[in-house]
Order: sequence, then structure tokens, then C-alpha cells
Amino acid sequence: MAEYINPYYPQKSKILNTYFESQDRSLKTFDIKPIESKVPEFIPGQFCEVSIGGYGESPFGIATSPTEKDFLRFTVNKAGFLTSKLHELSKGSYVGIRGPLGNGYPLDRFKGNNIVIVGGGFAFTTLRSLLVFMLHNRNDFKDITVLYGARTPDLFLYKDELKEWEKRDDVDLVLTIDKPYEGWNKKVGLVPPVLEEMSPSPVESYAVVCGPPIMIKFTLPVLFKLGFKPDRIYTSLEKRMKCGIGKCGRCNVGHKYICKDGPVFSFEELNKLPEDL
Amino acid sequence: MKKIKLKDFKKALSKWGEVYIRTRDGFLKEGRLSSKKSKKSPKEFLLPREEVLLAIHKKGADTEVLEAHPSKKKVVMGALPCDMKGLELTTKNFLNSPEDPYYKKRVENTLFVSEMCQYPSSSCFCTSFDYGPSSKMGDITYFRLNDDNVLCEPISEKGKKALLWEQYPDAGEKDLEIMEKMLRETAKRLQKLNISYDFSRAREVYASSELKDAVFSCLNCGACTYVCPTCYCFDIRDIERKDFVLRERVWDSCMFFVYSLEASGHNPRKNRSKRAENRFMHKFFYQPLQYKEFGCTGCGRCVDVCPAGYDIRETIRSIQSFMEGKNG
Repeated sequence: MAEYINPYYPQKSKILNTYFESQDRSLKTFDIKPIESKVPEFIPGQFCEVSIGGYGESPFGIATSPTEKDFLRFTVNKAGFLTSKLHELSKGSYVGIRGPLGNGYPLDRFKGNNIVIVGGGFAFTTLRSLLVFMLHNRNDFKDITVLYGARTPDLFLYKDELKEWEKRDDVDLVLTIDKPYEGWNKKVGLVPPVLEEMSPSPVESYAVVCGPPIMIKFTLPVLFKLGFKPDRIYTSLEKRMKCGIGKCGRCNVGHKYICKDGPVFSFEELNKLPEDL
Repeated sequence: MKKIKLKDFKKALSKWGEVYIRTRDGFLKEGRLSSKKSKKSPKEFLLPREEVLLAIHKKGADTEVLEAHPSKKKVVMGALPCDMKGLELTTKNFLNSPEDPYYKKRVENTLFVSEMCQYPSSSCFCTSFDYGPSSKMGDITYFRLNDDNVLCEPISEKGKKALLWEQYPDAGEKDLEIMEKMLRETAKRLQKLNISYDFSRAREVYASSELKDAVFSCLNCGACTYVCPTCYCFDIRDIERKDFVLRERVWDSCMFFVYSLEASGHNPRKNRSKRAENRFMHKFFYQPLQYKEFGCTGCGRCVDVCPAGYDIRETIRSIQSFMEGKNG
């Protein structure tokens, strides 16, 4: 008989560490470890439901890579009821975790190809997971190009790691901000034109695009112009979720549930679904 | 089939569990077995309006989480084929992987005794789908021969074990003839809609002005989702008590603005019509794509309760003609 698993049961987990990512304190990162079980196996791009008794649950992309086995990392934008409460918590507090949930990035398909990562704002969480995973298994992938844009220099996530990745010669990392900013001597410009300027080759390449809908909307035509086909462009979607296991109904796009069939979809798949995002 | 006195039948069933019978309003412990469909479907026996999933006990900074285990045995008596069809569809959602343990437990603890339908109403259109008023569904099915007697037979293993079937006399040929005749008459009184949709055109239909026009009168009150036997959307909410928190599952409705409202303020279905369109699409395109079956049973309850007089059959017809028109 299969082991009885209640998919609604949150694993008791401890917050090992917290850091503010931005000076405006809107973005806080939590390193969390389940205390009654091991850190679960997962794929970059998957997410967990993080809960606090009395405040409900919310889905957050896992920012750690499967190669980092000590804890799960989530970066949370303070926006609603649960996220505001989460921001109040510090090291040593307990939360509940359900997951990993969702499908994750198609790593088998990515292997042996050039990977172009295009990220915007605080959507960089699962992209970090993917990037760290690829850098750990560097020989499985060809060229890795990362374009990461934020409104201001303060709003980049994982700034220390970005500095380190910039120094590496096995990954091409470009950071850009929307408008000129005092002390910023790197790229200035929105993600789509900067990407066009970089013009990564579509040959044997996959692009992964995550960011605010407006960024995705204007980045796609650039990728198509560069020669990327819809089946070679992936994105990770978000919608309001509750159950995280494809039962409660609300996160559907056509007949697909973002929580269960996604959150990662190719644009070839999305082109077949009703526009409902 | 066996012939049993209604009174004895009910009494025998009560040995299996608490018996709830179909009344005009819903399935209740007390009341008269109605002849027509009830206002509410029996979906709440498997998916209660409010249900505790977990109890989270707070012990200082620490917590302990306990699971709820629904265990009460219930008999749902007189569920009509449309009710049973609705449960079949919600079961697909809850028991596909990963299985919902609460729903599963309730399925195990409920005996469904269905009644073959003899009194369809003007809103009924069940024969538009792949079943009808005489479909034998559930664990046990019966036909109401008259006010005092039923002809019945077990369907599932659970149904076979529920009663001592050999103690009842077999139905006579004359009784069976009456049953066949009545059921034939019933089927004739039902309207059958032509629904042959090309589900691969979901994107096109969702974007069409035909669909938008068809659902125009919907007020988003949510009454249809409440009575619908196949609507299963739920919310999960935490209820604070003194020393613990109850994590509950409660019915939700895709008709409500907050259903899909995101913390950022963005709402993919912020328009009244988008929500109504999504509901129609879910039943007539998305569920067929997922489960190869329509998400509607034709019970007509949504038609009965709609305060704006919206009739889903009109939308079905509009989309049918949209399909045919575009097909040439």
C-alpha cells in the first residue's frame, strides 16, 4: 500500500536566516528548513506553499538550487496579508511548507543547449535556482547568457552573488536598470532593447523569460525577431493560488492549472490556450 | 430487481448510516421524499460547504498540526441521475493525482442510493449528455413504483453488501413493464441539445464576441455555482480560535471578483463577463479537454435559480451556431 500522504499537510519548518534584499525593505529573503523531514528533492522552477497558522498560505518559487541541499530559499515581496506577516518573522520562527509543487523547468531539454535567461525585478527567484543549477553542472550546457533588469540598482535580488557571477567567464551576465541612477555605471535601458542589442543567437538555444507581464509582452517580439521559436521560449506564470495541487480551480489558464501543469510553460503551449492572464 | 416497501427500504438503509433523503430543498434527515429534483445538489456530502482540514495548535512559538478525519457514515437516498453524474465529475477532480484524502474518506463513508427520474422539469436537459433519467447510478438504484413501493437493485460492491438482498422478493413482470414504460415516457419529455464542440478551438471561442454576448445578462451573484452539482471551486482559509487555528476548506465561486484577485491588485478576470465566460468555458471546453467529458449534467438548476433569467442552454446554442458558422 502506498504511503498515506495528505497534500494539504504543511511540513513544520524553521527559518534559519532572513535578509532584506532591498533598502526599501519590500523584498525579504528567507532560508527555511523542514525540521521533521529532509529538505525535499525538487527541480528549479518548482514552488512551495509557505504558511503561517492564522494567516493562510501563499505560493513562492524556490530560489535555491537542488544542488544546495541545506535549506530552501524564498524571496518574498511584501504585498498582501500573509507576506506582510512573513516579513515580521525572523530567524528561529516556524512556518509550514508544502511542496515542491508544479512542474519546474525542462532541464532535460535544456541540456546541451545555449541558455538565455531574461529576468526582471523580483521574478529572479527561480531563475537563480536554474542559474546556480546550471553553473554547478556547467559542462551539461553550452553558453549561458543572463540579462537581468530592475527599476533601480537597489531592487536587484542576490546582489553579492550577482557580483560573483559577473566575474566568472563561463556566464555572460548583463545587469540593466530602467533609468540612469547616481553611481550606476552599468547598462541603462529597459530589458527588451538591451536584449536586442545583445542579440543572443537562437541556434541551439533556449530562452527563459520571467518578469512582470509588461516586460514579457515586449521581450517576446525581440526574441521572435532574433529567431527564437515559441517552443524554445519558456516562462513561469503566476496567478492567485490556494491548493497548489490543481483542485481548487482558480489558477486555470484554459484547461491547464498553473499550480499543477505549470508554472513553467513554453510559448508554444501558451499560444494554444485562451488568453486569460 | 427487488420489490421493497419504501418504508422498509429506508429502514434497512438506516442500518448502514444516517439516511438523508431528497426533499424539495436539499438532502435532509427529515422531510418528504420529493418527486422532483431538489434545489441543491448532494455535492455537499463529499465537499461540505465548510470543512476543517487541519487544526494548528499553537504552543508558544511552536505549533502542532492535526489532521481532520471525516468518519460519519451517511446514506444519500434519492439522488437523481443528474446528481450522481455531478458527483462523478467532481470525483474526477478530487481523486485524480494527488488524491484528496478528505474527499476520498467521504466517498468511502457515503452510500449513494439513486432514484431513476420520472418528473423532469422544463429546465432539464440531461439527455444532451451521455446518460439520462433511467441511468442506473450510485451504489444502489431504485425506481419509485408508487407511493409505497420501490423496485431496486445494487450496483456497486458496496451496494451489494449494504442490504440483505435475498430476503426481498423479486419484482414481478408487470411492475417491470410499468417501470420501462414510465422511463420511456420520461425520456420523451426531455429536451436534447445538440452539443458537438471542437474543443481545440477553446482559445478562439473564449475570445469571441459571441460568447461575450451570450453571457451578457450574468450578474455574478454566484447562485448557479452554489446549486451546480459539478461546481467544486473552494477556498482555504484560517479561522483563529483561542489556542488554535482551524484551516478550513470552504466553497468558493469563480463568479466573485476576489476569486482571482492577486495581491498585486491585478485580476485576470476583472470584468463581470470574463468571469461568466470562464465558467461556461470550464464546463464546455476545459473539462472535456481534461477528462473527455462535459462539466455539465444538464440538471438545469442554474436555469432555475438565476435572478437575471440567464439560461445556459441559450449559450450552448449560440456557441453551437458559432462553431457551425465558422466551420462553413
